[in-house]
Amino acid sequence: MTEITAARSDLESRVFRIVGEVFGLPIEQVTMQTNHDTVKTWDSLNLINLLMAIEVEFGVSIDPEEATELLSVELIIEVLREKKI
Amino acid sequence: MKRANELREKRGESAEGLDRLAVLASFTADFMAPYISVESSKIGHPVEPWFGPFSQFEQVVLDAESEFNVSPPQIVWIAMRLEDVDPMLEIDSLSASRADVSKRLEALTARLVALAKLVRKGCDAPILISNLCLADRISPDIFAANDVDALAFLVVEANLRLASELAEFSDTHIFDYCAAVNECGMLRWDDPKLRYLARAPAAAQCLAPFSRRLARSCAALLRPAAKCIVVDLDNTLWAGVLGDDGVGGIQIGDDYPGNIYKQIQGALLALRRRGFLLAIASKNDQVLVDEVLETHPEMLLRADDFASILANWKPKFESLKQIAKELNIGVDSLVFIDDNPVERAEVRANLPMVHVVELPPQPYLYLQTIVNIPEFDRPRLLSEDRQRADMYVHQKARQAHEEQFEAVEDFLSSLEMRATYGCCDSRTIKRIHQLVQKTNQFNLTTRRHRLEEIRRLSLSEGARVCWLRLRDRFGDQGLVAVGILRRLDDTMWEVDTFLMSCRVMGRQVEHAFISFLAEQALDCGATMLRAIYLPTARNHMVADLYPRLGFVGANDSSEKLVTFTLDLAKQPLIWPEVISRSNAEKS
Repeated sequence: MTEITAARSDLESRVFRIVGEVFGLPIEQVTMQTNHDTVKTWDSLNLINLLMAIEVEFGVSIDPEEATELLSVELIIEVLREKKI
Repeated sequence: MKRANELREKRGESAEGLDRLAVLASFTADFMAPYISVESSKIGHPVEPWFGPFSQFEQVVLDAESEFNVSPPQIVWIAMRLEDVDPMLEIDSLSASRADVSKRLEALTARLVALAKLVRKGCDAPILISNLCLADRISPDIFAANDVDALAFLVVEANLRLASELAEFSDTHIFDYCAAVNECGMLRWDDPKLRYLARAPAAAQCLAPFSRRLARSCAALLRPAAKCIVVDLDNTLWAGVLGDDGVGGIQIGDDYPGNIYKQIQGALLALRRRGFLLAIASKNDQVLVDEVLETHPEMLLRADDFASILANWKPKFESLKQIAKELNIGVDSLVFIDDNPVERAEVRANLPMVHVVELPPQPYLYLQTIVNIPEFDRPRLLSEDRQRADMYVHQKARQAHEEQFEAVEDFLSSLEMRATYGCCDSRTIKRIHQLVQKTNQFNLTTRRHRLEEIRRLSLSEGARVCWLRLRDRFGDQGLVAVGILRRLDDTMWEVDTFLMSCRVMGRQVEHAFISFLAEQALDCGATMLRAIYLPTARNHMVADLYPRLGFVGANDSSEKLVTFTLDLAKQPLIWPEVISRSNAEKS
């Protein structure tokens, strides 16, 4: 477990933590594949909570169009990478 | 978010036992959920928010099947935003007449008042209603204030109307939404993206202060307020150490740093005028303290402003205990203000129930901290609140008087006590409700009836809600005792509630009041009176009250509840000689 954590990039572990907090998941259950189909609490309300949390954490601005893409951990990381985080 | 999750985990996912706040809003108030949980826990009265379906008000309240009605909340917040419910108002106001714009706003306030009435019909929980605010402007004309008919002025008028109309309603209060927006600042308040995308309540960074204000309003309506503010002196009420610097050396006045302390004294004086008691617990020389209080020209607070002054060298928690005892109030209704962190820690360690104010290290930030203490939040003032601080000063005179007598009866007679009494009506119900909510010690059953319940009982054939008011040669004590009788059957009535303000203890007022209650029961056709004592952590002092008053114990040793009865025909209760009675105020 610790090895996997160590292997994760800083960006990934921050996103994992935020996803855990926003959707109420234990952090060890969060994976790259965690997405809105498998997480019951990943609804439109929490999507906005996720957006706010990401903006605060990374000091970026997420456009509404981008917000609608925040549907899995993988996609979140992709959006952030595009912003050169 | 994280804090809220942690809180929930600590409680084991269950919010059972927490007061539920029902939110009916014209925006996505749900975003406030984690903030409300966290902020309400921080101020010591956690509430669990429940959100009605977006922008539905009357529907939710009227629908008997809605969760709102199926499990009624302990408190309700109705949050209608001007921009949501009448989005064209601002545009129309630029061409419509003043009267027409006013009419539109009146329709809105009338809707809010009607909604309050509707909620009140179904439940007796306190109601908070947001006032109206022009937070989301589409025509922010920089010279709008030139125009006496400007929308902003009309909105102020509408808020005035709302306040005066809601004042007629029981336990219904304005949630000062305008103040919440101002507190955060218009520039920070709006986050256009969240507003367009999700109808968010406000920008993310405003959700915590906004929710804190809401949580404070809820706590103020759901828990008893603090009663007494105990302050330290050196470097709390003035700069400097009296013992070292002397009366002339301490700093208070209009220049730095004395101006900091003068304002703190002003804030404390304001709290006294709002009905809080002030007291001093200081490690100081009593003679010097008296001299400052009497002679220092810059002091705003004088000896008369304090219900108790303890200047000694004992540990402060001892002084706090003594103050609570002297004033007949619980230690848990004290707020302690002291600049010294060591003193604060010592009080916290020894008296964890005292609210100890954590002051910042910089004295110039003291005032901000003091004026924002949630324990000082209280809804409408009653005249008794305003007078309370004076009553305790009278009490001091009374105690001095007491020392001149040897027999208690002589002393009591010399007080020239006069009791008036009657049944609950519109003039007395608010005070009755207040006593029911906050009396802890002299309270036989500690049943915290809500205002509406008291009203219902007072109108019911099967109940009597009674009160007693006491005056003596030193002043008016106000309405000090409340009793509620309920019919069990044709011959047996029960004392549902019997409580008395501690400031008139030891004066046979309880004897007078129970005899009045017995008369009322007889009047209703009862021949037996049943009474119960429900022990709590705070009411040991009345454990043997009923036997003392002549009731017979039912010898129920189930420790949770003790039942007594009184045969009204065989054992009439005698009104004490030391109190003269008049039913002049009888309603």
